[in-house]
Amino acid sequence: MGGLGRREPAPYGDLDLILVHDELADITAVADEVWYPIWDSGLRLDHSVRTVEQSVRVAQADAIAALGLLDVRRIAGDQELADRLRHALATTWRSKARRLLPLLREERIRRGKLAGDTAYLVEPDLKEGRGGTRDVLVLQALAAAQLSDQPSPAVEAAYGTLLDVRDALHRTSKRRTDVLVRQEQIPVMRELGLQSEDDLLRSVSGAARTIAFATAAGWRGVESELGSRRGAGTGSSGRGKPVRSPLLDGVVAHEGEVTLARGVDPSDDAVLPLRIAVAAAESGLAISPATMAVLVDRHQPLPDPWPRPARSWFVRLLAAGRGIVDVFEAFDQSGLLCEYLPEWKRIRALPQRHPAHLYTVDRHLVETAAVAAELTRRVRRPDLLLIGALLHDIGKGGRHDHCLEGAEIAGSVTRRMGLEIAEIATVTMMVDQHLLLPHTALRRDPSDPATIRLIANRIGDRLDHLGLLHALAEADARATGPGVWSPWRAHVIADLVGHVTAALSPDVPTTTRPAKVPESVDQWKGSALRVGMRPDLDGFEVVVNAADQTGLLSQIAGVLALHQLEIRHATVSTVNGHVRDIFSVRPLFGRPPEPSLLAADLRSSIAGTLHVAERLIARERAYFRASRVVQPTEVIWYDGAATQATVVEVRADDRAGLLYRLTSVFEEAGVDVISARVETFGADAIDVFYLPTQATLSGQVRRRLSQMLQTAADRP
Amino acid sequence: MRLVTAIIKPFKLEDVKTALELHGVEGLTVSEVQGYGRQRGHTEVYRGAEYQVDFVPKVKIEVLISAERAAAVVDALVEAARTGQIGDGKVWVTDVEQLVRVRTGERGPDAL
Repeated sequence: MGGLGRREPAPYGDLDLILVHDELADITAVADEVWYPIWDSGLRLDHSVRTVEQSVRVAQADAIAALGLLDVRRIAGDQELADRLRHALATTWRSKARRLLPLLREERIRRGKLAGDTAYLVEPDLKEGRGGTRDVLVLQALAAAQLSDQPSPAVEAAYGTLLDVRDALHRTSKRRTDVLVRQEQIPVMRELGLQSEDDLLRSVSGAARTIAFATAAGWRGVESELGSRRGAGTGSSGRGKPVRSPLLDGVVAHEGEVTLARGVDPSDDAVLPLRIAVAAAESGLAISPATMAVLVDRHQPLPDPWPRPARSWFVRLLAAGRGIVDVFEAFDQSGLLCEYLPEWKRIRALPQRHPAHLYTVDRHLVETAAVAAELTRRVRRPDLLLIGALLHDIGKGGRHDHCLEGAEIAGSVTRRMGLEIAEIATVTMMVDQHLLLPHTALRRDPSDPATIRLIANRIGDRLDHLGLLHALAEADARATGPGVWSPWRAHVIADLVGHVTAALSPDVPTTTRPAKVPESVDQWKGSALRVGMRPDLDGFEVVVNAADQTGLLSQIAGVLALHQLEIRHATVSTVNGHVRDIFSVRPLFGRPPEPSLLAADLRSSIAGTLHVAERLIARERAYFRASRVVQPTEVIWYDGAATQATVVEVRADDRAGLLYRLTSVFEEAGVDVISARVETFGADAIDVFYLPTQATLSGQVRRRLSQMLQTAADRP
Repeated sequence: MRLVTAIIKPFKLEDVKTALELHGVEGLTVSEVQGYGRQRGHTEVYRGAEYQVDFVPKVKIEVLISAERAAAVVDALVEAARTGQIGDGKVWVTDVEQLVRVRTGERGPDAL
């Protein structure tokens, strides 16, 4: 059975033997005669003695045993009996596969969790890891159960690669082991005649990726095959008729996979692949292989620089957290990742040198971005944190200092992404200085003014840069391996950050763009309610002109949310009782409504005939809610940051109706909002509200307002 | 044989390591530890919130050395770890009864 049955025994593997008999009375004596010489020879023996019927019973009860029994091969004895056994086992597998496969799946998931991803570990498990040799046996078993095709030649070749490495590992370590530990990598590399350990790990990684990807697709195939017969599973109505539920514009969930909506053509929309990526990462569903193939064939290349929506979808993708790991893998396999980020090639499957590292460089970068997605509330610019996290080690694999080299590469990547000059400078600073805080904290006295001056110089005296580096240091360490971000290390770095913070000038609220007043508004005279709309870089610009009245802002925000318009940016200002609000919006699905319709709804809402709140609650229930990292909303108060105003900044998960929820709080509390700035960074929104100083708010009122704002933003 | 144990400030580790290497120390063990001495309990402000720090992060270094070289190593270590401020740490020396190198089975001073 096992490797011996498949004619691929490992040099130090077990002999997996089964003695099959036909109800022989004195079988024990026969067994002793067969087993003892093997034991005496010192070989490791995994043995059993069974009749054909007993073997079938075992195969029916135990998925793992059934998998091993599929490979039985006669070594000696009665050919007819051996044929009978093979036939009986194959029939059993085919008929019981539907019941056994879920058990096998569970076992593989359990083992895969323990052993990790063979492709990305610096010390990969060649057998039990996700993408290890065991997965190929599972694929063969799926084919034997006639639930999928035979593994492709690419998968067979990858399997051969892993077996060669395993055999070399057994020979050099002289024992039965499947984990390619660091100390065996040089001997194994020599045994295989390779030039460097990097070549060895890259070939293991390439093979394991191929296998893992085929395995994931194989299981999805099985699930939809079994699921559709049962009528269960995501995206299925329970009556066998599959349902398409919308995820994002042009993207739907269908039979547990992310697919294109009907009639959507990738050649019309360069940003579509990124929206599919976001939908997959946020829903936790895989992209259907057919959709991926259509994307590869028909997608529009992104222009250089990327249009603004491409950048904001990309940032929203990074903000999805753990979900991005599989999405990056799918895009990597399809070749799209290296098309969007050609610089990715240099770190693809690149092994790490430092013993603390668990993953190859590419996976470490994706992991770092996934951790950074949990830390976005701490920083001014969640988008730059996420991009910096994804790129921080992009300079590895070269001959020079990876921080310096990385900063240069990050500069060209972010230029292509269409970031503004100041933003590019911040990202390159992050990449260049990503080791500054951990290194300095462990080498220089944090209370020494010279240390503080050094840090302040490197970050251009900017508190926002310090916050970005601090969050990046944490994300980087947590993504490196277990125990790297210890409470000890967190404390040492926080101590340094605390000293530097105290030395820099105090914080001011987030503003990234100057307020603009569109020409069209200037021409409007009087205080009549007017709503205008025109296309802008991000989608559409909606301009509202009206006489001020309490609660107007929340009415407008509510009506926009009701029409499924996502607010990307907003500038809201009141001058002499006259309100000019400019919103940059993006329709969730399809085309935006006519401005006259918005104006009509706004009038009804002000008149009290349209109940925005109730309508919104009903609508929000129907929205697809991303399963993102849960971070509580943060509320920060600033004094003296703007003249004659108290300023409150709310950092929250961006969602439809967020501005409405927040502005309703001010309305309910009877606090006027003079002006407001709304910014969206991928999945995060930062809304800044300027309140009149005559309403100078006591600590107690602020705490209550903070709480109300948090509750409003976090309410499901 | 002696075991030299030192508790020092984290940022002094590099200096101490260099000093010990100059004195021919070939191996050492480093741990991240937390604790307090006489400066116990100070307050810090982090992300706007003031909080009491009970335990201060420190580095613990352990070095095995022959009895005759212990005094010189301790002097070098203290010299390198000193900033003159509160919380510079402590160094102590203990007797080592037995020592075995795992790979070869060598015992006593041969295993140093």
